[in-house]
Amino acid sequence: MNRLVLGLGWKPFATLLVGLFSLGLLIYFYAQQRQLEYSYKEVRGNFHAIDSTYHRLNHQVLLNSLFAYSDQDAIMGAMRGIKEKFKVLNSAEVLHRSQYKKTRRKLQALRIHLLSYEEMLEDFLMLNAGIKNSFAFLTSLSAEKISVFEDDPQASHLLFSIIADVSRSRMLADASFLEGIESKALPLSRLKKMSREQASFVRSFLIHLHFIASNYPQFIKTLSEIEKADIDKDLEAAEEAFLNDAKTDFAFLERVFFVLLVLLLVSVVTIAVLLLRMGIENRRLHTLKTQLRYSLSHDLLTGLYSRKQFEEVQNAFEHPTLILININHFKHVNDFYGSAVGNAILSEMALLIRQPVLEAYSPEYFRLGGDDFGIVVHAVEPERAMQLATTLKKTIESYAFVVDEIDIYITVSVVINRHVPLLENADLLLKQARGRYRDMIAVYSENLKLKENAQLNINVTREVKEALESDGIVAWFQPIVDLQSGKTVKFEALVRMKTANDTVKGPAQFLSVAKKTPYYYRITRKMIQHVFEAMQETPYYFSVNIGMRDLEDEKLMDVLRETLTQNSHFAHRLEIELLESEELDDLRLVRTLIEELKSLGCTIAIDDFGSGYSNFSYIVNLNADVLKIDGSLISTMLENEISYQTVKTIADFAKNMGLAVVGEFVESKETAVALKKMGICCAQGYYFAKPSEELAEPDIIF
Amino acid sequence: MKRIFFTLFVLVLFSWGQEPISPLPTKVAYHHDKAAIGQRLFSDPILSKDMTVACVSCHSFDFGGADPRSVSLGIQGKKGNIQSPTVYNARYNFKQFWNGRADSLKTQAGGPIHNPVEMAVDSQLVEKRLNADTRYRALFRRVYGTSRITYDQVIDAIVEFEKALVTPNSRFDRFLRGETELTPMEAEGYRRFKAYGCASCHNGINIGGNSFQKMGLFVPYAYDERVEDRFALTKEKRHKNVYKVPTLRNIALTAPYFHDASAKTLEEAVQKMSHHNLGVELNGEDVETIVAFLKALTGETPEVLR
Repeated sequence: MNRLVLGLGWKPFATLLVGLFSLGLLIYFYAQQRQLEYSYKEVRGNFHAIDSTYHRLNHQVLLNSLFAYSDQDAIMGAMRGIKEKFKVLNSAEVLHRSQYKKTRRKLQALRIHLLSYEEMLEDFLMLNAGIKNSFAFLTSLSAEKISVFEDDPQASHLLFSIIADVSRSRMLADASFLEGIESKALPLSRLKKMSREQASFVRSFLIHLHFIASNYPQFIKTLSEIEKADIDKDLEAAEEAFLNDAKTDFAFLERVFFVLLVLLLVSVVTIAVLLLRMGIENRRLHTLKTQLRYSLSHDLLTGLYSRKQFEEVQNAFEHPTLILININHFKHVNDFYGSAVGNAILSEMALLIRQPVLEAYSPEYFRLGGDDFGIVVHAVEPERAMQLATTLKKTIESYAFVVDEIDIYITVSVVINRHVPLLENADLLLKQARGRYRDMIAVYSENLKLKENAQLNINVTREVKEALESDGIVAWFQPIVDLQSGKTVKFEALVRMKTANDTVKGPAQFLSVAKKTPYYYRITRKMIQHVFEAMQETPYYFSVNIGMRDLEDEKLMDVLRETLTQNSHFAHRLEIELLESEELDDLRLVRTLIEELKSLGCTIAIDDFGSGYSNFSYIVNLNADVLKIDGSLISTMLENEISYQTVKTIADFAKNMGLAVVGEFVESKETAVALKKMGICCAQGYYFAKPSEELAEPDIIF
Repeated sequence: MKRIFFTLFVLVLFSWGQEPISPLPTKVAYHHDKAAIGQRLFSDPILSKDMTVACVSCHSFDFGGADPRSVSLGIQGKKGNIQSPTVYNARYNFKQFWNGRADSLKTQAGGPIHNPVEMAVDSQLVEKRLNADTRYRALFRRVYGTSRITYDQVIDAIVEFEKALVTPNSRFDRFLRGETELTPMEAEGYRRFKAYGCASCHNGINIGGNSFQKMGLFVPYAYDERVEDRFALTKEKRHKNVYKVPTLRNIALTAPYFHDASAKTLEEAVQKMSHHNLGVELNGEDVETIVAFLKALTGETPEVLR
């Protein structure tokens, strides 16, 4: 997992960083946009406020020009309002951005326009007050006072005419009606002999007339100038510039926003892809891991649990019974039909051992070795286990494995074990069972002392080794007696082992163990040595035991050849007793070897004839000189008619074939006499003499 | 027929809408603590170079917030060349100073302080002096929360005090609100005030103070180029002798009158004004009644001074 993350490297982190960065910028620019929007609205609000105030102001100016009492506060208040709003607008932060240069220029123009407009207003008000007062005087105050000219109809009439002109001019807001009005009033200034009241009135009248005449055209002009000041046009232009600038500004922000959005999306997608890839990689590794674990815990050929798995879980079993099944001679099947067939059989075996009858005991199936299958069942009574094993064995052995349309039958060795260590115990027993219980089902019990035996074997092997190194392998001799003369004709050399504490052990105690070790060859060689030494020292004839299979051992044959050749002058005194071996593969080779040995001068005897697979043609083929009848036949021949007849048949056969016959295990006179009657020439046994270190001829008379 | 027509026209012209004058509010909003500091500063000669004059020297609360002298005296007895306008209700003027050179009270307040013939101190000196004064330091710290007094804070405090200098509840204001009746003389004065055209300029909340006007609109008035009129500011010929129309509130208290203090009494002022700026000659009755009306414009002493 760590490597996986390392394997992805910096990419997802970099992408994540970019993603976060763009998200941050996105949020920042979003905030900026919101801020801009707010400022935008604020600016537009100010534009509109100025605009509406401006229109109110215009309205007030108009009112003021018409009505004497209209409050000038409203005009100046509105003007102040415009100036204040303009100040706020002009100092708006958003307008200080470089994008709003045009707007700022327009605003600057507006500012200057506003200043001149204010001045215009102030001048207008100044003029307006005078104009209004003069009109008021000429049209209303003078009308009241005109009575002072009651007595002068001419003057009165002129006054009324002038008042009418002034009124018309005012009503129509047209200064042209005032043209020439001052010359029209000239007669008034020339009036003479006026009373004080009349003079005062005429002076005021003329002052006002003069003011109106000289200022009203200017007043109308000023008024129309104010009206046409078009501050709102400037305002509009500035606002339009602002809208344009803002559009650019918004467009820029939008572009940035879009770019960032794309960046964010790309990084999100990238992260997703990387994660997906990581997920796929993860799943692949997971599958691989599962497979790996499976292959560790399972046998791939059969799909059963592996030996390793067995070792791992064996401690967790509760009340287990192991049924170990071994295919007999599976090696032969493999060699004969090929390993493909072998594998097919193994695969089918894996299915075959899954017997429904086992299901009740929560069975677990293992392939424990090349041809070893293990079934662990739980909490099974020993009797029941035996039944189960029997069923299995019968099922398997009656099953025809069909491979390439050939029926193949196999046999199996079955071992039942419920003692820990499960497999080791069963294995030990299986090795023994192969030899002894081929057709049976072996049940392991503590009493079998298999382990002790194994230990014993080790001890024996060590004793053999020590004996070989300290001349502890010695030859004891048993005389073979001629039944006619009672004379000793030969001594059989029998192997004995002296141990460190000077006890002497017979071959039964160590030879079977030694046979499975390299020491066996050295024991045989030693015995040959001993016999030849004895032949040098004594004139007697000797026989020595050699297994038929041993002859196939080239080293031993070399020893025999050499020794016989070097001592050819007494080779004729040596007899080699060959013991039948059950697994004698190449009879022809043995025969050739026998011929060679005979050519070197020694004679050949077949030992323990009558037991095992002995048959007559076999003997004929081997071209032996002597038959030694199996001791078990001899020792029972007096009580057992079959044994008796067997011995007699062998004796007759040997006589016909011209072979000499020796009877072993002769323990009584009666036996010796019976053998003599059958025409058997020689015999050996306790009746004559026990084997001994010394070469002693028995002194027995029939 | 013509007479009827004219009368109708005039009626329409002069009776439109409301009265041209509106009353002062009876209560004004201002920051009391700041105004308290401002009040102190207003009367403290610490703001003048030689520590001889204060704001109050020329804007006396005993004389309607103005100066009874023709021209005010600054430091070292230096003479100004214009009559001090009242500080009362100054917040309602559209501009400050006789020629309107200040747009706001804030701009105005600094004027006399820096003026070499008035108080003649610069901002640094003001700050230095006030910061040396532990009582001022304590006052400012309490109100403004800063340990050092700045010039801006000084101006702010004075302005806040000036905002409080409003004189409500004059008889006329109470009449406008329908709380009292004018005497027949006052009512007649008010009628003539309007009829002769005084109200064309003296209108609004401050009865003036909302426009400029030429002194001698109809009959030219003596021109003195040393006096700072509107022309001094704009250099426009038509602005010669143009001044801000002064308020008529508390006018009875603020003699002498006009920028040059040329009228010592209200009667004289009314006569002169009608001659030069209305182009009419008023008779004795006119003047008597208008002065009666003007006297009804005197309000209460500002709350902050009581």
